[in-house]
Amino acid sequence: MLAHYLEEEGLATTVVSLVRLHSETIRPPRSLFVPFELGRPLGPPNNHVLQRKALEQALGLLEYDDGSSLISDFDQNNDGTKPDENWLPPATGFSNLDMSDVTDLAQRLKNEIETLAPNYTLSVKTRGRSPVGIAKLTIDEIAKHILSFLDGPHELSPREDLSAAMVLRFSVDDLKAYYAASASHGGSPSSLQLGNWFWRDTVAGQILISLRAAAMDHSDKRFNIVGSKFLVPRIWIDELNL
Amino acid sequence: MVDVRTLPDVMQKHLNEVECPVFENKPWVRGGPLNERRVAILSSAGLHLRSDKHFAGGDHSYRVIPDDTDPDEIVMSHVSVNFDRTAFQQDLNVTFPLKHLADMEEEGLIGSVASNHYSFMGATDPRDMEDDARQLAGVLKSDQVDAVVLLPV
Repeated sequence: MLAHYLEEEGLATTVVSLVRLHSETIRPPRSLFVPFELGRPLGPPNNHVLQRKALEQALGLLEYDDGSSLISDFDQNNDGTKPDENWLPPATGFSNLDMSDVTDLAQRLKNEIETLAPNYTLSVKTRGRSPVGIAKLTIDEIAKHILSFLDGPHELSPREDLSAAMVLRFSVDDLKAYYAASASHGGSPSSLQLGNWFWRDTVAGQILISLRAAAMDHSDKRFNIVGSKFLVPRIWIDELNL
Repeated sequence: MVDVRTLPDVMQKHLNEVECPVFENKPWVRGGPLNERRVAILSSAGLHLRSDKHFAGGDHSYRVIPDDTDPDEIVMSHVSVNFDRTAFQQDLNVTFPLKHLADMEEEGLIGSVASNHYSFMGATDPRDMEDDARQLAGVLKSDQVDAVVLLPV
């Protein structure tokens, strides 16, 4: 739709499309359908050759001059979902967890975060960036804020400008980003590999699953919304039969 | 393309039921060869500078990301958790290909790279973004941009 508005204002556009059904209905002027997962319009991370091909093909459609809506297919079959057989998931503190023992969970989460820290530091150094930061808290503050909700919702926000619930949402995003950046350093795991590791084998994943259940059962509607929408992706809710 | 049939039922239902408008008019802008175009990125990944305001539910505004931004300054606050974020977390270029555009300019494949790029947050109904998108078109034209690549998530 944005392409339609821009084109009406006199700007030529080209769209990388991830869902064929939507583009076939909206019919933007020029679109390139790609075989990639939602969230990665130019393909798998670190595969700059494939990314460049997708970008070049999308931009190349700008030279198409027919004047009618063009839908083109990416000419590569690689959808970027192939697992990295050599990837070794980092060790975690996941074993014999007692989800009712918040003190033990806090210590295990702290230990897990510390175990991942060297990989996280190397990831930032080699990639030149960190995906962590929207909560604007340290990773220890993030863990502490998430854990504080295991006993139920509260209004104690570590930031003056945001509610406790909003900081919870951002903290969860940051925690996942910290784990993904750390675990993927030195390899090319697929999103499924990273998801399996995070949601099945980490203390952090189990805490978020437990927090979701607590939030969904609670009488506070805002807490319900955070629990149902912002903690566990639908694909993992389905995969784990939550 | 994403094969919707391979997604969990709830995602299939969501994607199949997204209301997509059918436009009666078919705007079409012609331009010169690609190697003479000035190209800007328009993402809907909810990206912004660390110093910028985060995206909230229903936010229909856009954020400006200058072309010379340090990649470490770009973060994501999209409200949806239902797309793969691990790719962005490893490699900015999968959603916001600043490096690739710079390389393409250097190789002469595009004319130039815009001074600024932009991001909306795609969980908002795009019809609510119409006024902002039309205003953005004027901003883009003032930067002599004549080609926009839209990258959804």
